[in-house]
Amino acid sequence: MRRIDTLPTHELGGIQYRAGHVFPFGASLVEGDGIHFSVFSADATGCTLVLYHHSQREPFAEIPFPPEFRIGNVYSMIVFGLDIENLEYGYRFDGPWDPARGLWFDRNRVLLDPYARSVSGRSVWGAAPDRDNPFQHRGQIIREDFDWKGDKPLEIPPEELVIYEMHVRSFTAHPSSGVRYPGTYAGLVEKIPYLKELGVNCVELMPIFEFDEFENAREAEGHQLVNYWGYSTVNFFAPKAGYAVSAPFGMEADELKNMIRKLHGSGIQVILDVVFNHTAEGDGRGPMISFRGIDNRTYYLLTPEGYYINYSGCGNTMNCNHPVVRNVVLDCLRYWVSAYHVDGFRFDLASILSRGTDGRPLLDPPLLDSIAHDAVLGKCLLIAEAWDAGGLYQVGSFPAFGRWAEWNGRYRDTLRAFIKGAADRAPEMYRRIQGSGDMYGGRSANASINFVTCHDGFTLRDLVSYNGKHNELNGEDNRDGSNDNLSWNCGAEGDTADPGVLKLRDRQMKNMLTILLTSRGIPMLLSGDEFANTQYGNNNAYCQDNEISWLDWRNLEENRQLFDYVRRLIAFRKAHPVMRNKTYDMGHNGTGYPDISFHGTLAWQLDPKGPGLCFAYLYAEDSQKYGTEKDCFIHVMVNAHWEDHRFTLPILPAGFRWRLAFESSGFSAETGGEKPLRESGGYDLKARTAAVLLARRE
Amino acid sequence: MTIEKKQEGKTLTLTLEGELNTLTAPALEAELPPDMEGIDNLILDMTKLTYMSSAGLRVILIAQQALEDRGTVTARGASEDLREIFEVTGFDDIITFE
Repeated sequence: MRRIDTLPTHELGGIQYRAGHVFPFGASLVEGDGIHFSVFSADATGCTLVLYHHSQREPFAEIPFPPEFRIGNVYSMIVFGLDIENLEYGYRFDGPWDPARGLWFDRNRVLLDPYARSVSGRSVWGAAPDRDNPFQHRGQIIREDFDWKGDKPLEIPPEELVIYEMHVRSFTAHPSSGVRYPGTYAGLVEKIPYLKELGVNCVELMPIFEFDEFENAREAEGHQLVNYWGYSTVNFFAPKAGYAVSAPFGMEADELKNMIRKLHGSGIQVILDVVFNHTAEGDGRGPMISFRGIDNRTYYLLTPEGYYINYSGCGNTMNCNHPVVRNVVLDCLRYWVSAYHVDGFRFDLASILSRGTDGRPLLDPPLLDSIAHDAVLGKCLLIAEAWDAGGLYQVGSFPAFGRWAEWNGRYRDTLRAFIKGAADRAPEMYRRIQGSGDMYGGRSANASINFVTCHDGFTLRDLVSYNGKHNELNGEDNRDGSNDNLSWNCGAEGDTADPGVLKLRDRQMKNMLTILLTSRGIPMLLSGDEFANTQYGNNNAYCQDNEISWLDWRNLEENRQLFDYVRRLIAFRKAHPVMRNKTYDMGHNGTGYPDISFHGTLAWQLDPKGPGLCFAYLYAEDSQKYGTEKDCFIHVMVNAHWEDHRFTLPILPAGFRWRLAFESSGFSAETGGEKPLRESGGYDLKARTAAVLLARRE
Repeated sequence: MTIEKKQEGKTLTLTLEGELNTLTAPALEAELPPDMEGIDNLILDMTKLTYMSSAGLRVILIAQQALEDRGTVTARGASEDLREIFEVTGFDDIITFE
């Protein structure tokens, strides 16, 4: 039987429409050939729906919302008979222009729907925008009927994850990637076998919400610089169309969903790096795209004089704990989980999400509470970058509500400093390896995302190749990017042919990776570090859409032994649950040894509070406790000193024998291929070298 | 778009010419029997098809699902561009290319 609400009640210029149902926000298909439009504004005095044929400058229709179509602060209507594949839409809002009061209404502007599920107008990456077109980013309607074929979010227990942080375009844009669809979601699909071989089981994608790569685009030293990373959201519900081969056909959502389904099919989770702290509209000089012209005082933190407060370092700050914005964020996260089967989120500058509507940090931020306890997000991984550009630093103290994990910046800094020779960092190094119980004791080691490199800063290779940043090509006289890198070039700055320096760099990379992948807490790798990818010393490549950022896959062949080292370390971690224990369990187990214990060059002898450059940690994996086949012992020895040292080894129970699994000077074993040691009492560890021993009953 | 229809036994061949989009997809849908009754194999000749949108893909997907396990959907003569769309959106799993 036909529903009554499929009958139009109004007509304008041949287009038929009627009042909407208020919910859902955005544009969605409804029964009877209709599209339901719904948009919020508290301060506007009126609203007009503006309809365009695809890529046309002028609209073919404008339909003002009649007063009876507004309920509360929501304008909604159903329009009939539109061809969704040849349709783009936006809104005009009526209201006062009074920036000093935070009001930026201008009915001459057509604005993007904050809930648009697809954004047209910039569908092809790098295609220069038509600056004369006043409506750049256009809402589009998509069918939400993807056939998931039984897929759902994977819900891998967090302690089992090995996260791989990556940029969709950087991963395959370089010709050496050898894929058919470079720089796209489809290109990433072609590289899934590689990810499986490496063994990571979670990819964290740098921003894939629609952004404008031409935001602040400029030339420097003959280079075209763009907003490459995309930490500047245009729309929170639409995937970056420029990352889809199929976007010109309006099928970017299908392509992304297919990518996620295929990753899931290979046992790989997908986490999105989400940027809710600010938008692409910048400060008062920025473009008017959406939020500013729709309800500026709701969406942004403003001073009493109407100026934008800038806690993000990017011009504006989202008013995240405003009740309406809270709902936008929640709706967005729920949408990505339910419509795209995303497994979790990493929140950029997440501390901004803990600020109140006056900008001050809240003790119990309602947004973080709501996200932690949301029904749809109940099994998602939630990771905070627990600081912001306004000086709020919450690593170890982020309001977690029992759910939130954090990028453990202290893990990164300690590991870097210690490995380059900071003896005073040793005591902290021990705590970081144990899962940072001093920071996350009230939570679990799952709260600690351990890493040594991420998109911000040097790649691993550059960390051991450069003392200072080399960001000249970013066009800001090398002023941008962090100066505090804790890096060391091992004796020569940048490229060198000195074999001693190159060998040391290789060892230093492996030393850090060995500790990272044998620490408690969740390890995260930066894409490309497994084959020594370089950014040529650039530690802030946010604007470089070229060889600086693109992974050069020829390095994989050159550095195959490093790749194998990382691949085997990941497999080793997966095989040994004792390293993944999240409980801060330090007590003795069924083996008669403590779960984890720390040692000096003499076994069982270490001053946990004193400085040092040589130490070892012993895991005792109790097969009963961990459900493994046999008891085993893992002994990780680290010599960060510039001289060789002899380590005495812990005495093993009768019948057990030490074998070498990894040595950063160039040995790594496949599981089962560990090399027997000539002697059981001691191990000579060369300068700046780490080694991992494994003992089983033989 | 024009559609030429030929049925031999339980094999239905449709030759498509022009653009398969929201406006023309219903015409393709109309040529298919309800629930694909009496059809085991659907062959879509795409040699002269110049464009396919999301609506077109969906008509094909629904036909394939109606066939269940008893037959296949075959795309014949699809251009590289068309095959690309099938591939990157995952629709290539459900049809056979010739």
